[in-house]
Amino acid sequence: MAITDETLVAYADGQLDGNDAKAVERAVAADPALATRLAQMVGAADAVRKAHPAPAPVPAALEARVRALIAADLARRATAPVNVIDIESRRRVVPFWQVPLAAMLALGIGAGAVWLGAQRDDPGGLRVAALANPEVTRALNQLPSGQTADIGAGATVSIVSSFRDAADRLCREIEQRVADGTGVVAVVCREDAGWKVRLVVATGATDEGSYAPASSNETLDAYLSATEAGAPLSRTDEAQALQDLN
Amino acid sequence: MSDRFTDDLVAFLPNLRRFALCLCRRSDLADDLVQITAERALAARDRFDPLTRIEPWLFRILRNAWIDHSRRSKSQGQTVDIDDALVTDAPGLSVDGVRQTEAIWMLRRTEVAMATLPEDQREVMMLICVDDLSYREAAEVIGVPIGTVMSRLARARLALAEKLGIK
Repeated sequence: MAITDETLVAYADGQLDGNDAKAVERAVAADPALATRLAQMVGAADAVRKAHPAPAPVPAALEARVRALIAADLARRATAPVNVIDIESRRRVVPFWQVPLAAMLALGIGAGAVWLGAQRDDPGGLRVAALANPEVTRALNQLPSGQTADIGAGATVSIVSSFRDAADRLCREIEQRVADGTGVVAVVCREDAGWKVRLVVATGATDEGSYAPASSNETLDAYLSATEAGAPLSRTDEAQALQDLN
Repeated sequence: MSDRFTDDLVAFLPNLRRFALCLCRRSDLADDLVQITAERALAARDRFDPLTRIEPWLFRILRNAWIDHSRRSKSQGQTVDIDDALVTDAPGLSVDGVRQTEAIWMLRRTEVAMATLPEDQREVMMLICVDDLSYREAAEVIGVPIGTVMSRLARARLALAEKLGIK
């Protein structure tokens, strides 16, 4: 077997497995020129290793600059949107006119704010009616994105994100879930000192804890891009916006 | 607050700077490359797989920063003057013993021999023999097949042996 320089260097560095290593050993034993070459490879690595002990510490000024970068990065992360859906990344594919029919129906209804309050006293009423629950309003007014509130009867509402629409109104994307696992995702925006529903999409039952299925997300994508929704507010901007409400 | 990623980054700065010096051979530029590496690493930390070693990942960022710099400027190919390298910060020769003097002399000769290697050979020597990366990790840092790493490494070692008179 001809021993290439690549094989020889790999042998010198202990990178060959048993059989290949044995083949190199046999060849080296039989060929003084090859043995010299191996000694050169080993000796060169030794010399370079000895010439490079532990590296010197970096200049203090450089370390200070890097530590400042780390601190700035930490601060940036602390104010970045946390646990929100990235609206920018969703703005892609589905033109608004292609949203699923059911969602369009919900939209059509949702556009009429009257529809919300009308169902308040009807216990068997449409689920979307539950959006008019005062607990939901409280959550909308107070909860930061990423948090979930219990709104009674085993139902919860989670705030997904906050953003501003094209008219600079504060909007919030929320997900509401009732005890049987079905729910809605909704976009509500601040108007006339109250929250107006802009979009509601039924999500149906999903596996526990999972977010709305893809089709309802597509609907949201389409809606958000059609309405020129802004990027999610940072945590601080959101806190300020909520404070301005109350 | 303890942060493994940034702790590792800070702890590895000396190795990054040494690799930067090996590539660019200018300490001011090496400092800039290390700083750029830190910036890019922080910006990309969400893409770092914490189950892998951070060292090759950081070396790769630094190497890419060096390539970016080389593309923009004409400083690549600038080489150290060997005589200067020998004279400027040669250690004071002690009279304690010939052996110590010889050892120091050998270190200096090794540094000079490394400096005269082509850059592609010098960097595999640094990554593998000095910073103990595996062949595979070095291949990922440089972005070449592992066989290329091995042939550069073999050529570098034989060239160094020649320059250093290792027989």
